[in-house]
Formats: sequence, C-alpha cells, structure tokens
Amino acid sequence: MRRSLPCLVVVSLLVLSGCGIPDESGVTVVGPGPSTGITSGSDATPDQATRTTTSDRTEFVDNYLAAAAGDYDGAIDRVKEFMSPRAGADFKPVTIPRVIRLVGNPLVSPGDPEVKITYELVGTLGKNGLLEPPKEPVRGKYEITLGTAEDGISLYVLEAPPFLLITDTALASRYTQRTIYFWNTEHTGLIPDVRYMLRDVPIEQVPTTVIGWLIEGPAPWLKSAVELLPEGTALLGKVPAIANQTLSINLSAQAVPTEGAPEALDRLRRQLQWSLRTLLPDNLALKIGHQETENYYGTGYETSNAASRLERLPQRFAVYGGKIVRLSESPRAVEAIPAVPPQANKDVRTAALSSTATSTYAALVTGSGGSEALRVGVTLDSSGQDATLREVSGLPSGLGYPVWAMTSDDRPGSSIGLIIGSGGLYSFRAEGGAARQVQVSGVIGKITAITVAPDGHRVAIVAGGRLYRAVLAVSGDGVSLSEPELLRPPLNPVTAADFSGEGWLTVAGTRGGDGRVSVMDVTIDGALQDPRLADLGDDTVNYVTAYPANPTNPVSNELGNADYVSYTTADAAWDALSTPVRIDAADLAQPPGDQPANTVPAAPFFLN
Amino acid sequence: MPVRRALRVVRRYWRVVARHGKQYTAPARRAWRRSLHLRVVTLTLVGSSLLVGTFGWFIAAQSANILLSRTQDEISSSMSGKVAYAYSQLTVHPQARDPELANTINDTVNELFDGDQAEDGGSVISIRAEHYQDLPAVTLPNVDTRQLITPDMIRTVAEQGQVAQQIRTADLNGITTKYLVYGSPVPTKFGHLELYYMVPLTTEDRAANQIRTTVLVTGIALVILLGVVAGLVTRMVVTPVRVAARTAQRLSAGLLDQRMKVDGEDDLALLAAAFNQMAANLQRQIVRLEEMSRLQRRFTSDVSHELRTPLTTVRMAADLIFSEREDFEPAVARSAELLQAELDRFEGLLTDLLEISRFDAGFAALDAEHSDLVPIVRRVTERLAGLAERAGVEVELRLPDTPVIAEVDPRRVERVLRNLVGNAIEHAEAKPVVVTMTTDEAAVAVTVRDYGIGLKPGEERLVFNRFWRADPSRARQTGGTGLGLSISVEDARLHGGWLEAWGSPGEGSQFRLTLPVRAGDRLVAAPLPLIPRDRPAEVSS
Repeated sequence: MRRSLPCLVVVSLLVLSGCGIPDESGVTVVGPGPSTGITSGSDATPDQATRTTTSDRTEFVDNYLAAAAGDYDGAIDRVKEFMSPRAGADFKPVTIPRVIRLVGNPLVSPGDPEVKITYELVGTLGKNGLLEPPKEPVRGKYEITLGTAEDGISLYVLEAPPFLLITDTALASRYTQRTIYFWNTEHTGLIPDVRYMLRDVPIEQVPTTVIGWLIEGPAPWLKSAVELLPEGTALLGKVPAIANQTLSINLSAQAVPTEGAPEALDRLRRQLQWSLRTLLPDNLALKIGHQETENYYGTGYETSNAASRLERLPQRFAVYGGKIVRLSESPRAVEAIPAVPPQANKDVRTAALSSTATSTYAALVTGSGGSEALRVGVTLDSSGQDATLREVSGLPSGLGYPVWAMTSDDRPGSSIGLIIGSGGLYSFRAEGGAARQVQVSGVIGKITAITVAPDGHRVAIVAGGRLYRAVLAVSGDGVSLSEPELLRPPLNPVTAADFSGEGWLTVAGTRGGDGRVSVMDVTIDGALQDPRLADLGDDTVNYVTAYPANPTNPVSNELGNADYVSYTTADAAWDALSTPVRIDAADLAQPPGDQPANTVPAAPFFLN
Repeated sequence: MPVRRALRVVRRYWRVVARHGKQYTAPARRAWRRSLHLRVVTLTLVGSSLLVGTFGWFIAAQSANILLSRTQDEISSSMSGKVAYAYSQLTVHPQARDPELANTINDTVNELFDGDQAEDGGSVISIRAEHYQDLPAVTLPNVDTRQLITPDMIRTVAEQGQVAQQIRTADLNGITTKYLVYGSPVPTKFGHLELYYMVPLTTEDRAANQIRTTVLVTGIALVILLGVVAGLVTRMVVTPVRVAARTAQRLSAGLLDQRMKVDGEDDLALLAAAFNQMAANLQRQIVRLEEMSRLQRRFTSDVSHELRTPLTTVRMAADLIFSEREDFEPAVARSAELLQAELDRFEGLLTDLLEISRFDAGFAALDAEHSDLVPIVRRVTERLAGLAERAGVEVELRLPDTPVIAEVDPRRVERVLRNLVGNAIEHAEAKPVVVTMTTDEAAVAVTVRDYGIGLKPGEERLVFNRFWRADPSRARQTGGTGLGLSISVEDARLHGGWLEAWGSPGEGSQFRLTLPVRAGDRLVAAPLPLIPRDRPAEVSS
C-alpha cells in the first residue's frame, strides 16, 4: 500500500496536467453559416466592343474611340487591346481620358491606312466622374493608322495619338449623369454637381462611389460657392447594399464638426440623401464614428434643394402690349399677376417673377430708351394687391431680362437679382436701391444672356456668342461671380441660354456645321446634347426661357431637363414643343382688349 | 507461438520482479501489518488523495472549461459581428470578378483587425476565398496561417458552410501560442468567402494553469495536512491502546499488579478504567484460584502422607497374613491374596499421588546425567516382556545401533517409557507394538506405536489428564492408577521435552517422547514424526 501513494500522486499530477486548455482540438461545428446572398447582376462581362468585334474600319474606329470608356484604371489596357503589340508597347498616353466631339465623321478612305478624325475637345473625364472643360477651346485632328492583324481579317491600330479618347456618344451611352450635391456656403440650399458614372457600376457600389466623390470635393468651378465636407471625413468601410429598406452609411467622426454638430449632421444627412436620392430606400441609417446610428425616414430632406419647389405645371406669363399677362392652359390662369400691383402693370418690356414658399418677388423692366427702368417688389401675398414696386437706380440703359438669383423666404433684404445692362452685369436687391455692377472677368464680348440655376449660385452666361458657366458667391453686401468657364456646346455662336434642369442648359444659337439656328439642351459641362428644335432656319433666337425640371418629379424625363421651353425671335415669342409653336394673343388667359391688332405677346417667362 | 513465448517471458520476468519486490518490500509489509498508525495514515493519505485529486481535477477542468467557453462566447459574438460587417462590405460586389473585390477584402480585413497586439501575439484575422482561386487570402498581421487553419477546418467552413472552431497551437514569429481558431463562411452575392478569426488563448491558458497549480498545491497541502492530522489523531488513540497492550502483556507475564493510567473521562479513560477493573478482578480470581489449588495440592499431599503410615502398618499385617495363607482355609487364603494385590495397587496409587503432588508443589527436580537411552529402552521392554506375553503382544524395537547419549534423568525417562510401552501393550489388542528411537544433534525422539483401538479425535489431549480413561467401563487389566501419563507429561516437561499423542479409531495410536540432547536446550523440532509414516497420507491431513 505504501507503493500506491507515489503512484497516486503521479496519477493525480498527470490527471491535473491534462485538465487545462488542450493544445489541439478537433474541428467543432458551432452552427450553420449564414446563407448565401443572391447576386444582383448577371455573370456576363459587360458588353463592350473589343478589337475583334468588327473588321469594318468605320465601326472599328467608333469602337476604338469608345474603348477608354469604362473602368477608369483599366482604360489604358482596353485601348492597348485595340493596338498591335508593338504599338501597344509604345503607347504611353496621358492617363486621364479626353472626351471629344467629332466634327463630321472620321474620314476612312479605302486603301489608306490612316483615318483622320476632326474633333472638338469637350473636356477630360476624371476618375471622380467629373468632366472638366478645357481652359481654351481646342479643335484639332487626330490621325490613326490602322493595320490588318495576322488573321487577315481583324484590324489593329498601328499608330495613334497618345491620348485616351472617348467620344461624346460613347460618354452618353456608357455613362449616366449622376448629380451629387454640396451645401452652399450660406447653408441655405444644396448646389448640384453633375458627374458621370459608368452604367456598369453595380447598383450596390453606387453609394460608395458617390460618397467617395462627395469626400473628394466639388467640381473646381463650384468651389467658391460650396462648402466642402470637413477635413478628415472618410467613409468607414463600404456602404453595404441596401437591406431591409435601409441604406447604412458609416462615416468617420470628423464628418461632423464638434461645433454646431446637430445642424451639421442634419446638413450632412440632407446632402447624402440628395446625392443618393435615386437609390434611397425608406431609411437612411447614418452613423458618425462610433456614435449612435441616426435613422432618417421620409422625404423631408427634399426642401434643401430649391429645385424641389418647382411645380410640375409652371405658371406662365408673357408681356402683351406692355402688360404682364398670364398664358392660358397654365395653373391659376385667371388669377392676378403676383407681386405686381395692377396699376404698375403697364409699359412693361421684360419681367421676372420668382416665388419662395411664402414670398413672391417681381422684377420689371419698363419703358424704353431714356425712361428705361427696373422696378422690383416683394410680397407675401400672391395676389399682388399690396405690393409696391421700387425702382432700382444706377443701371445703364439697354436693360435685358432680369433674373432672380437668390430669393429668400424670410429675409427679403438678402434676395438678389441680376440684370444685364448695356453688356454689363448688374445685381439688384428686392427692396430696390442702387444696382451694383458684378465684375465678370475673362469673357470676351458683351454679355447677352444670364441665367441662374434654381440653386441660386450656378450661373450660365452668354457673352460674345460663347457660353460660360460660373458661380455666384455672396460677398460682403453684394455678390461676386467666379471666373466664368467656357463651355463647348455644338453651337456657335450661342445667342441665349437658360437652365432647364439641374445638369442641363437650354441654349439657342447657330449650329456649327450648317449655320442653322437651333435650340438644344446641353449638359452643364457642354458635353452631352439633347436636341429640342433642330432647325429654325436663320431666325435668330434672342431669348430663351425654360422652366427647370424638378429632380424629384417622377415623370420628369430621363435626362432631367425641362418640359417647358419658350423663346423669342425678333418678332415673336414661341413655345418649343416638338416644333416651334408661336404664342399668339389667343394663348393669353385674359388678353387686355384694347390692344392694336398687330400686337404680339413677347418676353414669355415662368414664375420661377 | 511467439505470442505465447513472449507471454511466458513476460510472466517469468514478472515473477522475478515480483519476487524481488517482495524481498525489498518485506520490511514495509511487516510495518504495514504491525502498525495501525501507519495503516491509518496511509489509508487517509490514499483516500484523501483520491478525493482531493478528484475534486481538484473537477475544479481545474471545470474552470478551464468555463474560461474556454467564456472566450468562445466572446469570440463567437465578436465573430458574428465581424461576419456581419464583412457581409455588409461584400454586398457591394455582385460578381467575384469585380476588380475592386480584392481591395474590399483588404479593407475589410484591415477594418476587422483588432490591432491591439498583446505582448504574446494578438489576434489574427484572415479572409480566404477557397472557391475563387483568383482571390488571394488576406491575413492580418501577415503570418503563415497554415498551422492555424487546418484543411479540416477549411473543409468544414468552405465546403460544408458551417461555422466551426478549433484550438491550435502554432509557432508564429518564433512564439508558440495557443489559438482559438474560429471560421465562418461570409455570404456574398456571388457565393461565399471564409472569414477566420484567430484569438490567442494566452491569458486563458495562463489563468487555467494558475488555477491548476493552485488546485494542485492546495490539494497536496490538504493531503499532507490530512495525513498529519490522521497521524496525530491515530497517535492519540493508538498510544493508550499500546499502553493497554503493554500492560496486558505484563499482566499476562504474571505482573498482576500492573495498572493503566486513567487520564480524563473520555473513552480511552473508560477503557483504562475497565482494563484496570478487569486486571483487578483477574488478579483477585487468580490469587483465589492459586490459593485453592495450593490448598488442594496440600490436601492431596497431606492425605497421601497421612495414609502412608497406617498403610505401612496394614501392609505389614497383610504381608504376615499373606505369608501364612497356606495355613488358612482356601476362601480365607483367597481373600489374603486379594488383600495383598489391592494393597499393592493402593501403594502404587499413593506413590503416584505423591509424585504428582511433588510436581504440583514444584519439588520435582531433574537429576540429569549423560545416559545412553538404548539400554533404557531395552530394559523397559524386558521388564514388560511378561505382560506382553500375557497379552499376546509382540514388542518390536527399532533402535539405532550406536548409543544414544543424552543429558537426561534415566529414572524418569524409564518411567515414561514404561508407562508408554505398558499402555501400548495394554491397548494393542494382540497386535504388535513398535518402539522406535532416533536422534539428531538437538533432540532424541522415541515413538511407541500400537495398532489397537486407537484414539478418538480430541482424545490426544485428554489422555494426559489425571484419572482419564479411554473407556471407563473397561476392565482394568493392568490396574493402572490413571495418573501414569500425567506423570509422564510432567517428567517430559521437566526435561524441557515434549510428550504428544496421536491416534485414530481403528488405526491405533502413537506416542512420541522428544527430549533435548542437552538439558535446558529449547526444542525446535522432533527427529521423528508424530503421525506415523505407515499411515495413509490423506488421513493425516
């Protein structure tokens, strides 16, 4: 028995040593894994033409000019794929693709390996979907040398200019416009920033991409008017695909500054909601850093964009015999003219009306020649009975069409309008007083048209027959205009322009090719076009007005430009429907009866 | 058969080992047999070791389990968070061929990585795409996970789509660490990837080891303490018992006034008191019995002495009458002969009684001298030749050829042998009687064997009682006094020898006298067996 004692101690030691955490164990199944998701896209590769798609030279060149469109980082490889191995090895292009508009068709001559392409540079398309117009108009020729591959059928590019080229048609077909938004510096509204997103981007990756763009900042031309996201803002992870009608976004803590955090957070969420509006499910779950997730439901954010106030059917007006009159077949056709007292409604040449949620602003140019005057007024009552119009002093003669740029609900004093006077730009205030000249630098020629987007900051200018874009910024007691950027619409010269949507301008001018006057919509960067009235002969359009499309309007057309466009020529006012339709006295809702027979409605405008 | 041979070898070695073991452990075994103290302490140690060991093992195993399961729970919940995060991140990729997918996996791993690198290795996170060979496994920190993620694990997670866990010990960057490896499939829109989360169990392992050490040390201390306590307690009990035993030994050795010390009022005090009471009673009883025995022996001695004087007178008268009997009438003459015979018997009886009382009184003294025992035996048989002839018994002598010299009292030895041979002839029923004598260096043995009626079981001891007879109804042929064997036993004992009997009904009987060669030597063995060799062996058992 004495022997058993050490044995026992040894055994107990062994047992004890065996009862810790084991060094190795078998695989223990804890439970079933989560179920596999369902793919949203097809497994097929995107339908992009390759070198061997065609052996027709014209088509081949078209395909080549679309090859750079697609995934940004793979652009060079895709273009090289069209080249002979040697040409591909030598091909060292500028990495940022150029968007070009072909002037005429590429010149393909049988037997000549060289293809000549006349182009106009529209801009460069950055990775962030931003199309930046060139500083100077560029028009030139590219020469591409084609060769036949070893198989004797398919073609090779043997020599090409060292650029990645995308034609505007490829841009239109492979990309879609996607508007992102930034807050203006006054925090009163969102300013749209139009980008181009590949149609191939899976819908799940759109939010991540868009937020990446937002973090990267606005387009350079908007910078002076918008507020950037705070420094250090970053997307934590990716934005997961929408699940349970919720889009969850997790941003770094720096996204909301500590000062005025609730307001900043509210702005941030509205900015995000607007930027992701087309994808937005019921709920946006926004998480800042490690803070509690905030959930935002509903469409309350829509008010942050002034364009959301635009009606589906605009109230239309025209000037008839010196009086502002309503056009029939528009809402409230029998009501009084808002903000313009009836006794003041005389001797009117051009006018602009703008309404906010509570107020209506009016600006009338009356008289002509030496008695020309701009009178402005604001009323809280839409009937216009109690309104008084005050004259704006300090304007030169030769006034154009007034436009209201920034109109405010509660502070009429801060509302500002713009008017062209003898080729210069002037700003005026709603309470009258002296007009101020707005410096417009870098444009050549006289300003002939000015238009302000519903956001109140983006401006398009027609000067010297060219189209420019710029932004208005509030500075001191007035406004200042950033240096205008030249756009390259396919019209030359441009005679009139107006915003017809968040990313669209309706411009009128002479077509480059044949010198015919046409009215068309071009994107705010001048790249894409949507013809409205292709051929108006040679009747110069001196004024065009459009009622911008409401981005929240579900029946708005896919492009998001206006349904209502009117313009004037030297002797008449027209509606731009599928064909030009003249606005006659019969179109007026309540035409004043005491007008001469040859009086025609003029200066049509909308209650913006 | 080799197996059988091997077994045989093993058995042989086992036997050798066992024998050696037995040899070496003999003192231990003796101590075990003899010491209650040792037994109690050992049993307590064994019992408490078993008990403490079992509990210790249970506690240590349980705490290790608790530690492990807590960690598992933590990791499991952390894991589900990670899987959910990875899932949400990967939802943006509907296709596995998305070139951005690798970046997303990288970013996800980066995000999921805890980053807090403990001194002995932090957690490792890895996303693998077993089904998409184009996607490389992303691991952070970038260590070789082959030791951690076993093919079994990969099979369970990637192919069966199960969440699984495994404990692995791996040598990462020169540090051997125990890891709990957790694996879960991460569903994506195109299939699933696998997320592995490897958490070092260093803290838990250390805690488990500490608990185990604590339990072990405590257990050993407890066992030792219990042993000590058991030793002390047993000592408390055993010491008085030992004292009692010693006292009892002394009592039994005749020191009747030995008493235990009564200390206190507990059970041991009660035992001591009861023991003392018993000792006192015994002493009283023994003294009384001794007194009675002394009186009885004195009475016998006195009576014998007192009877001798008148007997002498009667004897003289009877001798006269006997010598003159021819002058009497036949009837009277016959009476005179009877008288003479009975007087002989009476005288013999009286002599025996006196001899016995001499033994009882302790006056018997050994008159030892170196004598040859062979002539003594021959003399005895010669003297009894007449009796043997009358009984028709042949006495056979088996004596050594050489003289058998021993330091004995020849008179007493002759008396013993006469008694034995006479009894044998008497009970031989006309069958031969064999007298055998043998000697070795230490002892001389004489056996007397008869083949008469024998002895019934139990009678071997009774035969030596005073006045005992095998069959009381039996006629007294030889007119023995019934004291012969008693005196013989006393004679043998006086020599420091033995007188023993064996008998079996129908097989006769054998008496053996064993005497030491040198007076005063202690007898160890007899040169002749008590049970005769001519007897069937099976009966002897």
